[in-house]
Amino acid sequence: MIETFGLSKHYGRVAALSDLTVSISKGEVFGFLGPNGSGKTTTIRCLIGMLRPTAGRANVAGHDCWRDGLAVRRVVSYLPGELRLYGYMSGFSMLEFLDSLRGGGSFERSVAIAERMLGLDLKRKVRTYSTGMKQKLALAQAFADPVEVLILDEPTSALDPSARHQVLELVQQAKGHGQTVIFSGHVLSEVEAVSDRVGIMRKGRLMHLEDMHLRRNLRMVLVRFEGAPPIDFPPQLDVIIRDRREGNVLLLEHRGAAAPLLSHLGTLPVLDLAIGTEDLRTLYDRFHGPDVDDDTFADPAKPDENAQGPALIHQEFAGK
Amino acid sequence: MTAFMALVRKQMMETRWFLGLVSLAMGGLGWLGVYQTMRYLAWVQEDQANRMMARGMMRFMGGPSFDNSVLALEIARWNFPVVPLLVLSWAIARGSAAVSGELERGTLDLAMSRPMSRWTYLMAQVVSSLLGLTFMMLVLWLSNLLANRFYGIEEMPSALGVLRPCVNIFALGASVFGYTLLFSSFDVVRWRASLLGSAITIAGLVGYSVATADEFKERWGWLEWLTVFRGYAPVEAAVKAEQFGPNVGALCGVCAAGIIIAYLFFQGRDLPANS
Repeated sequence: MIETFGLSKHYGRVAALSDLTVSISKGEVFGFLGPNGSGKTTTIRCLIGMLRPTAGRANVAGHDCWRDGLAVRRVVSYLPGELRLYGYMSGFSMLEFLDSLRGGGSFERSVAIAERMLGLDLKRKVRTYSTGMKQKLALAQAFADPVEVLILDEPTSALDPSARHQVLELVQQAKGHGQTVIFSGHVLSEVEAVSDRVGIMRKGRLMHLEDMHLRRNLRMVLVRFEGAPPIDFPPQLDVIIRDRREGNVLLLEHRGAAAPLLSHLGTLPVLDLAIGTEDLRTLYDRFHGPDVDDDTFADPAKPDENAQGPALIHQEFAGK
Repeated sequence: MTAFMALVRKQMMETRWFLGLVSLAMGGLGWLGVYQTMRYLAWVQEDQANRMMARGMMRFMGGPSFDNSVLALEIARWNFPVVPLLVLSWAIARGSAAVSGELERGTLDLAMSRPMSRWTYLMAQVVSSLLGLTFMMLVLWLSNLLANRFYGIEEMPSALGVLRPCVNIFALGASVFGYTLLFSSFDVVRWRASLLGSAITIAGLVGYSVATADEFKERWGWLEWLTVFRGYAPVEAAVKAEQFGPNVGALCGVCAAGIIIAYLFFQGRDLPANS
């Protein structure tokens, strides 16, 4: 549904986006993570034909995003991160106006979402709305649009916890209807909850692609051995040695069925064992944590769609 | 409703107070022009000295085409009540707001993220701005006609005679709108487009004044051809109308050129998030 090939956007010497190659399937929810200025919004604006790529190209539903931007915007609904609405309009008028710009057909649905799900009073002028209410209004329109792709740039940034929950539900519903969703945000737990895959950006580069379904099967195993720990594990166990610690301790990353690993560990001199999971924060911190600086990624590896998941990056880390 | 119509309607709604205020002023100034003419006619009847002085003054106000007719008297007064100034302020305000103004306040995202071509967007801005200008001129025209009837002016100007200068002033406004839109189409802040539009207009006015002054005409007369004020001649449009067609054509040409070049810039430019 969405494809980018070496997509780059430079402003003079500043690279806002560098060599982004990614493919997002129909019906997928793609989480987009990264701090401010990491290139998420630049990517999104390239996708809807607002920015002309310096190099590379992007396609949405087979249409080139720059040359055929109008066709792209017919199948895309976009919620901007920095939302500005017309204050003199009422909520009703605003939804009617936005609906008219798409040629009509979604007004009743947007009103229903705004009033019933998000609890907005649409008779009030938009200027009397709080920031969160304005965001709800725009979200109602975005989810009501009869489109194939939803691009939500920080959709929950101004919302209260219950509204955030409703937005996540709406994202799940959109996915259920076969819509493709790009969900850009800073709240890792939200991105983790809804995304099929997550892309982590840093300084205009896509550093990592994570399959969240695989990640949900991920377990971290901390093992203390009596004597020196093994150098490696049989490949069929799908175990990666994440860390070797003092005291003959290994931190293992494991996916798949637990029984073969436990059986294998039963053959080794294991003193102690702890099994846990890893949240998205830990993964995110590998690229944006306090210990990470520019030297860490002086030569960032290109993500490979076929080798996506933690393995690629983890092997890099294991080698450092 | 089509996207184009929705955007035109939104623009008209958004500018309704400014447009209403300017149109009200236009109506008042149109009426004032007739009232002043009526008082002037009574004054010149008083004695020969008044008549001589007034003729000289009115010829100065109305330019070389001034023929001392009631129509010429009324239209000449539009230059001094600030009719062109109102038109220019509208043209610069709307031209600068069209792209860079919307971009600066972040509302361009709303329109341009919907399935709307940049041509449609720009045309909606052009049409709504020119509709506003048309409305102002309509008010000016009607107020003049009504005031003539109200005061019972003997040598009453024809509706067409008053309409031509209105069209000339409209064309002046359209030309200024055209080049201000051009500056707006490639900028990201409104103030700069507004400043450039104003600077060119003021420079044009000064250049025209220098070029047409007897003292400088011979040396600096060519300056006249560089300004849109070369085509601004409402009194001539009212009484002779020999230059009416070329003047309006040239001013509308400047407007069209501004719009076309603005479109070429707008079509190829980035639309960054507002900062």
